This record gives sequence, structure tokens and C-alpha cells, in this order.
Amino acid sequence: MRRITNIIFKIILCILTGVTLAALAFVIIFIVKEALPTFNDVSVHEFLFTNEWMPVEGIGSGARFGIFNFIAATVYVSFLAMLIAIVIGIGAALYLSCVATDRIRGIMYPFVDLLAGIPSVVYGFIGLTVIVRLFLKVGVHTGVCVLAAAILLAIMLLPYLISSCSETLLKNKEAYLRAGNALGVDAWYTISTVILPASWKNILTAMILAIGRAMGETMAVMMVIGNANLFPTLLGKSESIAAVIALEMGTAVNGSTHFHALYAAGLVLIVLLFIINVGINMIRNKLL
Amino acid sequence: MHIRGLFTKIWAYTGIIVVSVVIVFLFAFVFWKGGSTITWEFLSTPPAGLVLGSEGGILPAITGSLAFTLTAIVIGAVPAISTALYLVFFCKSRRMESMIHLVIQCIAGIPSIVLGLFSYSLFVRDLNFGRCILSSGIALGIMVLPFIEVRAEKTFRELNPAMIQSAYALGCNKTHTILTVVLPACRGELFSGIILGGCYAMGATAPMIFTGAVAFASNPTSLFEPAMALPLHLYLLVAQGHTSLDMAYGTAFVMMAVILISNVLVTMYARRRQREWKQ
Amino acid sequence: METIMNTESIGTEEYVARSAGTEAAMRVRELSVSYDNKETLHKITTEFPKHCITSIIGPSGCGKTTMLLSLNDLIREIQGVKVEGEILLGDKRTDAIPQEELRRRVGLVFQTPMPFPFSVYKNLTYAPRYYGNHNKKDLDRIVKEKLALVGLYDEIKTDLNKSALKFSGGQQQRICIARALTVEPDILLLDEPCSALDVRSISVIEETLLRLKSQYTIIIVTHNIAQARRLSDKVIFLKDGRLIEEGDAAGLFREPKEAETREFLRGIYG
Repeated sequence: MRRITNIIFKIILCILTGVTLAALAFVIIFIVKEALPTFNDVSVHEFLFTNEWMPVEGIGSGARFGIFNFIAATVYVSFLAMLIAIVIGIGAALYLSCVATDRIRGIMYPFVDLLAGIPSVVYGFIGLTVIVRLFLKVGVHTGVCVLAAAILLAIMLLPYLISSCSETLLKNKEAYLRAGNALGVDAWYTISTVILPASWKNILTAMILAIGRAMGETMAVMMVIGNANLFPTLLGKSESIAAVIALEMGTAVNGSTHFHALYAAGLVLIVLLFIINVGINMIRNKLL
Repeated sequence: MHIRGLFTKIWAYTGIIVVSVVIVFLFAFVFWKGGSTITWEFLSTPPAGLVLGSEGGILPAITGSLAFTLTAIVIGAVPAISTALYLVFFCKSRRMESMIHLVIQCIAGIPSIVLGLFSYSLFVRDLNFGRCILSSGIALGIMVLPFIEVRAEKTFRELNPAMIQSAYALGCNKTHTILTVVLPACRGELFSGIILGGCYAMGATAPMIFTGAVAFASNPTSLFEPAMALPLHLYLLVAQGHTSLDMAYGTAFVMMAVILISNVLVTMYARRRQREWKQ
Repeated sequence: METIMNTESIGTEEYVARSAGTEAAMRVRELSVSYDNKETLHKITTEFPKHCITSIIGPSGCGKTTMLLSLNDLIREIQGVKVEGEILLGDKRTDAIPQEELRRRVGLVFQTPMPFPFSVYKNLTYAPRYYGNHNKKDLDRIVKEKLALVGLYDEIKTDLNKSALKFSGGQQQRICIARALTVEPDILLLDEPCSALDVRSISVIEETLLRLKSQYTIIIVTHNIAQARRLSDKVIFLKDGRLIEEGDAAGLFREPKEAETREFLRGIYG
């Protein structure tokens, strides 16, 4: 009897895992399948490296599908956000791992995790009512810009960076701080020369995960980046890939090149992510 | 003190202060601005007004969000936890393990808007579900699946192997061990993974824009009809401009409150279990 | 299976002569274990006499724990492991015994005390319930009897419903030993059961083991030579996955035959 329940349980588990796997694989295949027809009308090179995006045929001019600006904006805003977030995030992680007592850590971790729970629309909303207004006052035309999106995105990335960085730092602190103390070296010196360098490898991994989140983020970025097909500059408007999809999906005619092109843009986003993952991984393995 | 050490110390303190200020500001700002909008009427009536939402309340958005979230949790959590159990306790082949991990990571990397796109084409268009809670729920479920799976797998792996092997050593089979030792021991973490996954699904707008969330609907009664959702409602209010700004703050207030309360509850629950049952 | 019914003499000649008359509870023949094609145990042949305490000693990484895990087949839960050779429980090959039964008959206690996160009572009744015993009176009796056996009943009889994780390390370890005994095993394996404990708890556990000897066959892995000396009837010395020397404890510690054993013992004594 026990053996039968064991077997049944195992079979159920295997089936569920199999179904999950098949479904997830199906999602990926489906996206690829929907994206491919785009390239019947537009060459891959034109799609990726030109910057004219006119999904609907105008008078006297055909439809154009070039997403170079969108790609550039996505990468630009993500890396900028990453840079801001990593500077603040590592600082906070240093405090949490090397200064805070267990008690404080127990309070601060859930506190920082709150950031991860806030819906992106709320971020976008606060971005519009606070950051954009601030920029407007300072004199940026209309206030919406790439920098505003990057700041907002940086805040959204913080919880992921902080939790994984402080986890690594804590481990390394436990391993090395006492040895440093035993040599009579100042704790902060040990932290900056031993513990932090020893943690870089895992910090890079945390950055990979965070960059994934940044590039896929739709609503918050869309609400403050201005949504204009321009090459990204720090204080200028631009438009990310995710925003294009979200804004135009509603109007794209089913089965049209426009429709498929939005899928292709999504696929480009995934491939981009993949390339960055592999790239950072390679840097990590080479340098460290 | 050595200059490098001093710099690191300043870095640490600045970092934590900036983060704390940001968090406190975000919640304080929304609660302060939205507090005056929150009345029983706001929470218990549907939106109204010439420009929709400029008057009335957000009741259908609350119930709608609840429906979306529950659907997503059911669709996402069950396969997520089964997969984690399979990987940790049954999977003997490394290749199988890394293949499953690869797929999960790929899905985790897919932007939520693309998942929305997928669900729209397959369920709304090809399978003729139309825009409905289920279509969105599936997209959201796929989105939270990796989130819950990664947490569950981590929890299972962090469980002291000696505890599991002790059960094996007493002659208990895997099923019994999982049901009576592993799941109870991980209950707190699994519960928190599911709740936080739920919050994640509740706040996600992108996957449901085309698949099931609409600008106005009554309280949902079945999985096959569209519904309102808090985040989309907020987005639309913001898009309408200044007329509905107070309502927007109120809607944001509700979402922030839900996030705050669920996080506090989850943390307290985990703490209590920890205190009672762990060293 | 039938072919191994006749036991040949194994081990060094002297040992066989000395231990003649003692029946073996468990026998190992040509046991090799490898993880990912890296061999951790190489053709071990030995036996564990009934109602005796057998210690397995050796430098760390020599395969002590692997050996122990092989005996009740827990080794197979590890990925990429390959086991060759045969292990006999009584006169039956262990791979011919259903895994569940084998593990019931060969109990195991781990290095770090690892009670389940339940109450003491639930910990001790966990396995009996699994085997279908739901009689409250019977379960009460088992709890009392096994806790008494490890000398813990009087100490904690008022706290049976407290989480087992709330007790001291030594008490937790004894709870684990008691838990292993609730399924009436023939053999009790202990993997460095004292290494995480303080001196006082160690001596209590050692007393417990000496008391249990009359009812159970005990096999213990330890890195503590003094402990092996205090407890064991038989000693097995492993190094780099090979069995270097085995014999009755008094003899082996007094005059080890092999140079490597001598070196190891001398190294430990400083």
C-alpha cells in the first residue's frame, strides 16, 4: 500500500514536471514561431539596424520596421539603472552584512523586500508625480526622459541586488573577518580589501538577474521615458522595446507584419538578454 | 584608519541611508496623498463619473485583482512546487536537472509583456477564450512560476540533508518523508513564496493589458469573463490626466497597503514558526 | 543470492582466529564505491560482529562515511554514485532486501543531531506510525521505553510535547538515537555522533552506547581515537578508501601491524 502511494505520488510529480516543462518550452517555441513571419517582409539586418518605425503604410511610403532606437534605449536605460542601483545597493549590502546585528538584519531584510512587492504601475505613477516634476522644475523639457526612467528602474532593482549581494558578503565576512581581526587590521580595511573583492563574482551573477528584470520592465519605464522613437540621450525622450509592444499591441492588426514585428521585437529582447547573460558570465569566468 | 577602509565605511552608511529614505518616502508619499481618498464608499462602490473613475470607487478592481491573483497562484504554484520537489528529491540525472533549470531560467528571463503577447495570441485569439480572467491568469501564472520554483527549490535544498536522510534511515519512503517532514518543515517559506508571488502577480500590469483586464467591468463571477484590475485602473486614471489624480492616489494606496500587510504577515508567520520549531 | 550462504573466512588470519565464535551481523565483500567515476572505497572486505561495537577510524576523506552510508543503502540517494561488491545482512544480500526493510533493520544516526522539527513525542512516534502503529498506549510505551534506553526519560518526561529542537545538543543526539531505536533495528550505525557535542554529553552518549551493545550491533565512525579505544570491540582502519588493517580493539591499539596504522595512531597522539 505504502509502495503504491509512493509510486502514484512519484508519477503525479513526474507528470506535473513534464507538463510544466512542455508548457514552458511551448511558450518559447510559440514566440519564435510568431516572430519569424516578420522576416518575410523585412530583412533581419534592416529590422535590427535601421531606426525608422512606421508600422502602418502611409501615403506614398511603405511600412518600415527598424527597431535600432528601441534596442539602444532598452540597453541604455537598463545599464544606466544598473549602474545607479549597484552603487547604492552594494553600499546598503555592505551595511547589512558587515555592520548590522542579526536583529537589525532581521528587520531590514523584509523592509528592503517591500520594494520588490510594489507594483510597477505604482512606481511609474510616483515617477510621474515626483521625479518627472522635479526634472521639469530643473528645466528638462517636459520632464520625461531616459534618466528619469533609469532612476525609477534603479529603485526597482535595489531589492534584488541588495539581497543577493549581502548574502555573499555575509558569507565572506564570516569566513575572513576574524582572520583580519586576528592580524590586528582595521575591520573596514579587511572589508574593503578582502571581503568585497572576494564577493565580486557573485555580485556579477546578481547583476545578471537584475539586468533581466530591468530590460523586461514595461509599465514603469513606459510611463516616464516619453515614448518617442529617438536615439536615447540622458535627458531626452526615447522608447524601450517593452513599451513599444505594450503601446502598439492593441492597435496591431492580427496577422499583419506589424503584429509579427512586435513578436520579433519581443524575441529580440529575449535574445538580447541571453547575449548579456552569456557575456557577463564570460567576463566573470575570465576575470575572476 | 586607512583611506580605503574609510571610503568603504562611508559607502556602506550612505547606501543604507539612501535605501531606507527611498522606501520610507515611497510608502509615506502614497499613504499621505492617498489617505484622504480612502473611504468606505471608495472601497465599496464601482467607478463612476463623466470621465470614468473620476468619481465613485474601485470595488470591481479590488475583486478583479483578487480573481487574477488567485488564478495566477493556482496555475503557477502547483507546477512550481511539484517541479522543485521533483528536482530536489527524485531527479537522478544531472542532464535532466540542468535542462529543467535552463527552461525555468529562460521563462524567468522572458519579459512579462511578451508573456502577455503569448497569452493574447494563443488563448484570446487562437483558442477563442476571448479576453478573460483565465487568459490573464495563465500569463500571470507562467510569470510567477519561476519565482515560486526558485524559492521552493532553494528552501528544499537548504533543508539539512541529515533530516531527510534520518527519515530515509528509519525506512520511510520518499513520499512519506516529503509529506510529513519536508513540507511541514518548509511550510513557512513555501507560504511566503506563494504570497509574495501573489503580490508580484497582483502588481503586474503588462501581461493582462490585452488578455483580460479592462477599463470597466462589474465584479467577476466566472473565469471566462474580463474583469477590472487595480494596476490597470491606476494606469488608466493616470493616463486620463489631472481629473482623476486623487482617485489614482487612492488606488495606489490600496495596492501599497496590500503589499505592506502581506509582507508583514508573511514575515511574522515565518518568525513565529522559526521561534517555535527551530533552534 | 544463494552462493554467498557459505561464509569464507575473510580479513587477516590473526583476526579470524581471535574472533572465531562471534557471529557476524553484517558482512561486506569487495565493496567499491565511486562518485562520478572517482573511487572513494576500493574493494573493502570485512565483517561486523554481533552485539559488538565496531569502530571505523581513519584520516578525513578516507571513506568512513561512505562506508556507513553504503550499509543501509542511503548512498544511492546521492547523484552519480556507483556501488560494486556485496553487503550481507545476516546471510542475505542487502540489495535483495526491500530498501524500506533494510533501512528499518539498519538504523543510522548522523553527525549533527537532527531531530525533525516536531515535538519529542512526534519524533519518536514518527516511524512507528509510518509502519502502521496507531495504538496510543503502544506508542506511549515505545516513547517511554526508548527514551529510558538512552537515559533521557527522567530528564525530559515533562517536556515530551516541546519541540525537539529546543533541547541541548547532547539531548537532541540522544533523542535521535532513541528515534532510530523505535523501529527495532538489528544494527545501529553512528556517523561521528559526538563530534558536535561537549565533553559531558560525549560521556553520556558513550555510556548509552555501551549499554545498548547488549541488544544491538553498533557500528560507529569516529575521528576520535580515544573514543574508539574506550568503546570498541573491533576496529577497522581505512585510508584512501582502502582497508589497511582491522582487528580487535585492544590488540590493534597496542601493536598495530601495518606501518600506516602506526603512523596514523602516532600522529593523533602527537
